Amino acid sequence: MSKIDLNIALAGNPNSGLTTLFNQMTDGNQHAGVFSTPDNKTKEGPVKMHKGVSVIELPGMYSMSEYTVDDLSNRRILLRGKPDVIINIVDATNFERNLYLTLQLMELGRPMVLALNMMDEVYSNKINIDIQKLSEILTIPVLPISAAKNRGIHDLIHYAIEAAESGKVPEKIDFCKGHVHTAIHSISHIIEENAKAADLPLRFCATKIVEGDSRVIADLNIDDGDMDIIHHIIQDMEHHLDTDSESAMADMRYAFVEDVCKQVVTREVETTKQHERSLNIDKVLTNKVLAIPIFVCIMFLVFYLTFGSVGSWLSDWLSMGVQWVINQIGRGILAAGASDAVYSLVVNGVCAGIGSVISFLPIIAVLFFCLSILEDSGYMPRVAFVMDKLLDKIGLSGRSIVPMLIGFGCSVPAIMATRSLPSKRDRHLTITLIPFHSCSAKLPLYAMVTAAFFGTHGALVMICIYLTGIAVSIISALIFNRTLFKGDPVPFVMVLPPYRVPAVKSVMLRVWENVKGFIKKAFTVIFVATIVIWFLQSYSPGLNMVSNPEDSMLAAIGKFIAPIFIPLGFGDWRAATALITGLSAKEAVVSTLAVLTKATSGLTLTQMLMQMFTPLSAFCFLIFVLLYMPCIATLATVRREMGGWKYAIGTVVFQTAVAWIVAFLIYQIGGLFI
Amino acid sequence: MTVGGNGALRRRLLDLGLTPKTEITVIKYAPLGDPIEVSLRGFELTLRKDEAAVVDVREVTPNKAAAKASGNASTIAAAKAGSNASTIAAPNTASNASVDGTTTTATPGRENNV
Repeated sequence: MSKIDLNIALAGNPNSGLTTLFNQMTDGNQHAGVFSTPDNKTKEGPVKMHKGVSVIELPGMYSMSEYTVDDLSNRRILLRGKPDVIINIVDATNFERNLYLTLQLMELGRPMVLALNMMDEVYSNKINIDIQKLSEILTIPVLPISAAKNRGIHDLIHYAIEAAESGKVPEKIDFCKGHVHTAIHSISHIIEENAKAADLPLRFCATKIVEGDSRVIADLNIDDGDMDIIHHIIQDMEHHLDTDSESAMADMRYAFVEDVCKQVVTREVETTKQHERSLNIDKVLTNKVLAIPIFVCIMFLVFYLTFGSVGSWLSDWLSMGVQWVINQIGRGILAAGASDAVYSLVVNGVCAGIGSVISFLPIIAVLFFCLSILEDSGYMPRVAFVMDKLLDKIGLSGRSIVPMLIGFGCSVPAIMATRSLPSKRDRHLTITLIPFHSCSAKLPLYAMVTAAFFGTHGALVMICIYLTGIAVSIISALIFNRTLFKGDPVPFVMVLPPYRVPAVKSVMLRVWENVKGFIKKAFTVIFVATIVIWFLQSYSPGLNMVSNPEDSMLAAIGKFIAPIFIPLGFGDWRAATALITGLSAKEAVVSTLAVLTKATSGLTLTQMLMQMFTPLSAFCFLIFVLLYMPCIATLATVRREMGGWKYAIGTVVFQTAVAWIVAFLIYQIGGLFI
Repeated sequence: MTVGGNGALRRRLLDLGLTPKTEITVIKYAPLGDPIEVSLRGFELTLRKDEAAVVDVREVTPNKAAAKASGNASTIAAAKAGSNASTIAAPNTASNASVDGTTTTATPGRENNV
């Protein structure tokens, strides 16, 4: 990586075209940067054709207040990271709300350039924006661009670099009048030294103090005497304006923005064509009667594409390819005269590990393709609007519904999809609940066992299993709300952006990012786990290779833990061993049962199951499989998304405990009736 | 007046432009009855009814066709906010009728935190 001499920060409202502009500036290339942490969604990349210039995309924000996790990290980056220049992207079709943020960014005392985006829509609607005048009022360069159509980007970069090099900061940052003006001025004088000591921009500190921002006040270390005077100034201002200081600040900023709009924007029409179109689409998509059926259809389509047709077709095709490669490698190894141990390690350990990582890729790619389209088109916020009431009851918001539904397909992409949630609390709670939603990998086991025991009632039993999962998820949510995830949920308040046609480039880049992220972060974990399982399966406790799986270390562990499951009705060591292999992937439960059955008796799997289980204990076994610890790929994702192994381990312990208790209750209570 | 209660919500509403005397129009209810969709400053916003309750609104242009649906909305908002001892927005002269609903002026009120 070449040396970075110049950092550009890209900031703006959500849906103002941040990612599109970032992609145009960098061609989608990203590099590890100084500001990215697993906790924030910041993206950094080299600006194309400008060596040594790096751009940081900050997640969309509406103000410099701390409202979401993203706001917090954005603020830290802007204040502490001190980017050389800020490009503030502004949606020109939504001037007022966007300029409100601009005013706050200007207070940071960094060189700044305004990128007026969506100018193509502005022109096509015969709206006229006096760019020259806007630039004069704001005392910063204003560049008209269209990020989606790649217009004006070159000039924008040029001006941004120039601003950074000249170090010219916005001259006029005093937008207030009357009492607010007086208050900010007086406070600025008092805290001047403190701001310098804390290395924070003075004007920003002063306005934040008026707004009552506790973090800034703490950072400034103001002594009690000064604090008293400040309180007095604010009270005085509130008294004169007959409103509180927070509202006074917002009102003052918006008043200024409204005034700017009057001066620079002239429009013949009230709403733009695009806005009109959005309202019309919404008449159908969020219609009182149609909204939910349409949502169900769209989710069905997403599932069908991901797990039913394209995704599974790609998956089959890939695994065929992988199998072919493995066979070639195996043949090669044997031809080279390697020992059985080496052959087994390479084919059943290493290759199987790589294979299981690869098998996830098509699903992740197709799913995120669909989700990106839903997200970029603007449909996702509507889903939240339509489904919110349901999730409100369990302490979440409508935004969690899509990740939760994806959980029924596969927990891994479902957990990755929680990244769109704005609050850490909502995210962690959603991630905790997702694994209870029965994933598609558990289906083969359900199918096999229900066919063996419940015959014609199979479908009913299946439904019971799924409902149990949902019930446990709801109950856990209710308990967590009162314990671990206590505290105020973030308010739901959300902007419904206009519908837009998703850009192919953005969608494809998002798919690639997710696939790459999964490979990078999950590969090692899944790979190592698969090899460990292979080792336990292939070697005896005396470290000799075993021919009979009953002699393996894994079987020994299975036999050791089997008694734990006696109260649940299935104390057979083969069941216990199969459950352990479920850690690598849930499909492995079936295959392990099959292998062990073949090795230990001459019976078919169905006959064997009949010997191992009663119908009640078989049901309890399925419930246990439904709820117990998720597979290693899920755990790796939990660790990555929640930021630590302790969460992954917590998940294992919590879920296994819940599984045991629920299965225990069903077995014991069921036993009374049967 | 007392010092504001629910800080984050209030801050957010202010940041999104629900400052005193702003015109907002109730557009629709979600299929399950909550949240609601409103329009202000040229964009659409969704918020839950209990969140909308902290906004003190005052009807400026009732529309007969939509009076039933949106009239409800403003009643809910006003009733709750009324108990919160927040200010009533000043009359707005530049009223702007909407086809869909009632246009109202808004003041994010403060929940009493006694």
